[in-house]
Amino acid sequence: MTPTTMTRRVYLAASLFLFFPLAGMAQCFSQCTLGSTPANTLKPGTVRVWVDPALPPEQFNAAVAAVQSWNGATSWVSFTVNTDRSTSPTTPPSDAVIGVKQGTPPAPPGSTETPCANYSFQRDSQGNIARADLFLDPSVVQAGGRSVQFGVAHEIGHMLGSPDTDCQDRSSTVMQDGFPCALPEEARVTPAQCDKDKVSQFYASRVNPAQNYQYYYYGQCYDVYLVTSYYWCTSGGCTHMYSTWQYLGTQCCFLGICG
Amino acid sequence: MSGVRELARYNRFTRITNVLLITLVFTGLVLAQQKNLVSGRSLRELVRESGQDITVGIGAEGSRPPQNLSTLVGQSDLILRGIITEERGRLSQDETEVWSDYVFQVIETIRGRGTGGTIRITRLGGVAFLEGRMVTYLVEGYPFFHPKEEYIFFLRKLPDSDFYTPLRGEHGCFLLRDGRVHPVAFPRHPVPRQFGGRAPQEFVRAIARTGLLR
Repeated sequence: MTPTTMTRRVYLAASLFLFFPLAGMAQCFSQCTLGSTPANTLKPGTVRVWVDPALPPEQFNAAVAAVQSWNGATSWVSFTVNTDRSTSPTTPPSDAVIGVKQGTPPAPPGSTETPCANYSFQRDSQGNIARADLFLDPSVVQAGGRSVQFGVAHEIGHMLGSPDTDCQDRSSTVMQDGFPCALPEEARVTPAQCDKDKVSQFYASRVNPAQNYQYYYYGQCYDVYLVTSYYWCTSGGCTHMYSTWQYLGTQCCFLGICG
Repeated sequence: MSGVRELARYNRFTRITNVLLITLVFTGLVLAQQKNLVSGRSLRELVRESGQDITVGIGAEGSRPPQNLSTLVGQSDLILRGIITEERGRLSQDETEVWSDYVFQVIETIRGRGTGGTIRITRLGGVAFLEGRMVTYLVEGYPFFHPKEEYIFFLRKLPDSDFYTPLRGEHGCFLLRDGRVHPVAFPRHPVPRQFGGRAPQEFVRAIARTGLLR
């Protein structure tokens, strides 16, 4: 073995020795910056929102205003809406589209209660919401423009990754939950700067989520886990095989050890 | 003769008016019932449309969080501590949803009659296989349960079925791990805020203290 070959091998071994820990550290730092991340993100680009023109004029205009109020929250997503009351949600396939209409919102599991508003969604292969139906309960539409504006703004906030939160108090966020369908006077109907900042920060730190994942909110520390589940599927159905748990909280994971 | 001609003209006018009216009504119906983009649509149709694995689901408006532990206890048919031993995803009959069925090995019956070893739990959300593609159905804020994990479930029985389902979805589910209670629901809600991070036995004692066990 010539000294040159020997030197090359030493370099190679040293590189390998250093590469894996450094790669692990890089992964660790990228995880540490994520923080508490809600599950949904709207597909970046122009989101076309179609508000059902069958809504009464006051409610229609309120829904349009709610959609437009999120413009500028993040440079990743902008909204266009059918202010001309056009009758079908047309969209090029590359854009995300949301339909807003009166209807029975999808009911939460294990409950007989119907929410005032909710949405069904479909994600694209990157894990972002590409299509959604946003339903307003008839009681919300009947209650008038403010209730509609709150319902639409609140649900779009969720689609933009914002959880129910109170930035400071009830009057300073559109993401406050627990309101009745007929909105009380003190409720805010447009996103506050605090709401927009949260969305902006979320998109700035966003990653493409893996399929089949759920975030777990743990204890009072707001620790977050990424769980990837693996399934064995046959024509009869899918059986869970195993899951991997990856820590995404403020602590660091290094070579599988989280501290 | 002129009467007959007038009658014929009248009939033609009526026919045209009828055709116009039917067209108007039909167009109105079509416009009034715009097709949903996702909701209520068959998952098979969505899979065919996309030609790949799909992920669908419903939004974040979960069931209203219970304000205290007594509400959860009082509304439960069963409260059980145990381990999930099996999980299987299945399509709903109309193929618009995926549900998960679990076999739950009971360690301790906290409320309700003894269930004899295992019970069957079902819930909305899961993974199923359709036309060669994987279909994942998510319920925002309500993560999937995991086999081999230990839970305390507050359950209600589904009518006309052997299945139980968690009361108020995620609010009735508590994962036990590392000797601590980890509520599945968002930690700011009252019950998770009070009991998240506590020891499981402490949580069980708090359930007993509600005085609603029978």
